[in-house]
Amino acid sequence: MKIHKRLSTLCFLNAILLGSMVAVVCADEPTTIKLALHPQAIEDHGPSRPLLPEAPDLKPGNAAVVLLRMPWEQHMWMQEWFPKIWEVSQLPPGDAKVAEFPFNRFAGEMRRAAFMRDADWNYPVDDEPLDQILLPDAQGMRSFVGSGMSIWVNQRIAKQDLDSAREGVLIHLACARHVGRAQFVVNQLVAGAIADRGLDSLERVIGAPASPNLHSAIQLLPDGLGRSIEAVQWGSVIEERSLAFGHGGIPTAGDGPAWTQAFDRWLERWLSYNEAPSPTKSVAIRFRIVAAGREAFAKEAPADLDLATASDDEIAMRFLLITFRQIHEAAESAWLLEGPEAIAALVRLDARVNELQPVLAEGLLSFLAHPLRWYLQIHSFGRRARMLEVVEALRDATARNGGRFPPSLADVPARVPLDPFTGKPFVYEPAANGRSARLATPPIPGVDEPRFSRIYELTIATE
Amino acid sequence: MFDLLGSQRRYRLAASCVAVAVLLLAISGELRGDDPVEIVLALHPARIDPFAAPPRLLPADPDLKPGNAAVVLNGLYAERLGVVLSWKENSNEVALLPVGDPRIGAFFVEPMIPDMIRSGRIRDADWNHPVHDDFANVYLGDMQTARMMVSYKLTIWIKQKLAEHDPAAAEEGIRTQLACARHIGNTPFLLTGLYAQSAGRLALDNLEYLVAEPGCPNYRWSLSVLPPFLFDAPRALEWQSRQLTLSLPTAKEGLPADHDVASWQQLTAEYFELTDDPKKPLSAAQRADLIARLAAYGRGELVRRDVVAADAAEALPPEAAVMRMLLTQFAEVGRKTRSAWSLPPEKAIKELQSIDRYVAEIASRVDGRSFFGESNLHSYLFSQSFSRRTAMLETVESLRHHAATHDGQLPVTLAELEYAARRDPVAGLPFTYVRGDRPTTASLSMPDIPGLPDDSQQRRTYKIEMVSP
Repeated sequence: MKIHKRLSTLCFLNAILLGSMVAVVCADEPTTIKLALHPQAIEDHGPSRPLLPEAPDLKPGNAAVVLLRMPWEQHMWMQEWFPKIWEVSQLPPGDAKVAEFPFNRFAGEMRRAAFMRDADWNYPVDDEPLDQILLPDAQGMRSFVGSGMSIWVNQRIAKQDLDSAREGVLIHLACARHVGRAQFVVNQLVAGAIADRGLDSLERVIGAPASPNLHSAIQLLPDGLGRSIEAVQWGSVIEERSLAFGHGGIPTAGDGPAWTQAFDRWLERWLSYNEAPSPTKSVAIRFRIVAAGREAFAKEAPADLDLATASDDEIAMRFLLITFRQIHEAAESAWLLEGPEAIAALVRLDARVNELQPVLAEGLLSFLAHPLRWYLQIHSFGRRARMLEVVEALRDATARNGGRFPPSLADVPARVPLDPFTGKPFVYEPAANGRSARLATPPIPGVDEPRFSRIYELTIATE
Repeated sequence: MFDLLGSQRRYRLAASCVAVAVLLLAISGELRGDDPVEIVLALHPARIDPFAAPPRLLPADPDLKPGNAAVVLNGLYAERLGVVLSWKENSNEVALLPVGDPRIGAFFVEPMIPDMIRSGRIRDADWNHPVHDDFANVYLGDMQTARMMVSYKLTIWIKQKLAEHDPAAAEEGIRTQLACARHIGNTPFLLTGLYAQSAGRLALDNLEYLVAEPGCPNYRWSLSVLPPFLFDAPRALEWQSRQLTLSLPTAKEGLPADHDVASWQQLTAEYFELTDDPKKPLSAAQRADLIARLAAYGRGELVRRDVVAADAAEALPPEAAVMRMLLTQFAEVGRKTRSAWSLPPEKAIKELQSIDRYVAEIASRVDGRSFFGESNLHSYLFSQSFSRRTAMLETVESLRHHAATHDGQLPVTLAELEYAARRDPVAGLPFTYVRGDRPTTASLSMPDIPGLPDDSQQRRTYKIEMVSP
């Protein structure tokens, strides 16, 4: 498993980092979950059962310090148990390996971190080129929080201590929110992956016998846990703050040597992330980008660019920078729209980016080359939360309807949210006998990938 | 219209629900249909330059520096006392005068501006109100002062720069205004969140002047990346829903046992102290009568809501029945309000109308001594008006681009725009666009929000005239 990630390797993240941590991302089929529900009505005035700490309950402090200290404090545990954490987290609650897994002080410390207000990860963003900042801590959190709290929740479910299990989900989600407080897209993706595991745990809590109905708590979960818009803004300055010209801005028009230096550094950097640098390949890529730049600028060029006298490298580098900036600008403004509008805008943007593939092949695309994909992955938390809210609304309905699923979502008394990605209702298909039902995400216009779909096959538990 | 509170009154946070009511009443001209706003915009065409990085109207995260802006903003008063004492006129009146008015030019604000610009470029603002230690006595005088500085003093400076035809400085002022509004919103209260939105709306007023300046760039993209809220609404609502409990010292560590009559009486006394009208305090006899009436009502409510069984309700001391009912209702309204704000606008508005009716019923039961603010719906609509106006101005900028690429002429319909017109994000409808008799004139209006009564509609119309370069 790769431990160190550079920000600029985001082009590979989907295959390497996320591919290993979110099964749903790699799946060619929609994720299908079988869930046996025990009918349970919503208690309007029952005890508070939050799934995220509320603002008045948070204490001052920096949770990042607490979370990062854990491995150093528990060296022996790290050697013996940490290597097994992923495997054990995949086991069902009743498995003996789950029961014997020790937590020492980890769970208590994660709970303490969860109830802290801030998480400042102190990356040296003002002192180093951004693409040189390593993010191994985010990777570590994925294991500690993502897998660790899954095991913790399973232990509580096995002991039928459902309130502690529910609090385990809260810790899970609160610590995911802390990871998402960092400013990079990688951290947002890791936070999303941790939160995903938290919602997996929540599904198991909901399916446990005698589980209270968590509809009220789920409806108060936000659509996202991180700082995704800030992450997009940081993504847009990766090139500028990583290349040779650093923070001082780009070379001036006509300064051929400076543009050549910048283009060389850019090309060398991107080639090094793919394979061993090859002079032949470098020449071919340079030729393609220069040709594309000249073609684009022949139609319309910046006022200070003299096509007759500008060097090839100036043409190439300016073409890249303008193209990347336009992608980032379009991504940022789309990001702020409501879900369906945002996705529609990002689908259009993805199509434009794909047109650049012949020029910018071999992973040479910029940081936000696939903003639609990042958007869907980062925002899937809200979609899953809303879908689980519908599951709990159905569980309430079954409790009021003699243990049978209602004929339609319109017959559900509790709040039934729409799918935030499409603005449409989730697809609900009850069986004729009312003892089972299927709940699915509606298709997203312009997105064909099944991995972004989710299906619940719901039954009424018989025990 | 934008003078939310009219003076630098100090508010105890515990009374901020009441303050929200006052605030919303003060801005009723904007919130209710009795004062539709019509703005004449004489615009210069401005093309969107695909090669130039567009200006930002709110600093992006990578552009911000570490530090605590609250310290800088709070320090302005002490550091510039001489300037503060020199102000003889009411800045919130002067700020609303048009660009070029001599009273604006005469108002001396210059020494305050560099520190305000500096604080706008700082990432964090931690106001350190003692919310955990002494919530009932949190005063928001600092926030009120910051609001006055950011809203009015900065507007005066921006209008001075516009009068000097210095659009770059005016743009910097608007950017600072929005950034500092976000700092004001970085507090856990709904009231200060509304302050932030109010300052943000004033920044958009100033932007309306700026886009009429010859040579100013096109702000379409800059507007498209402004967030809809300059405060953390879910966090503010979480605090809002705990406000009553946190304001009652006896309830802070949990409710008394049912049989602890003395503690319930103390809690009831604390509640009446919070909600009594100082000009017309209840006499002892009136208070006893009200408690008796509320206790009977409260027992019924608690049983109806399955909070207690019928026999247990009858055994409750009167004060326990009253306070348990009030706290239950307050928590319920808080929970429903939080839920409503998370819905799409059309559904949120319906929910908030229903909550407002419930709150009004409670207020009538307690003879007006309610801890609730006047209107959840109006707080919501006021907050949302920022994003509506942003979307409307974004459409104006699309029109300016069109004019720049079509010999100064406006399109016949919005569908002709190269950069698509935004829909009104709250009404969910397109802005109403009518081109005038001449191809250089048009009007652009906010659509009515479906389901809202006429007196709650926010109406704004731009009368646009494209000026030849």
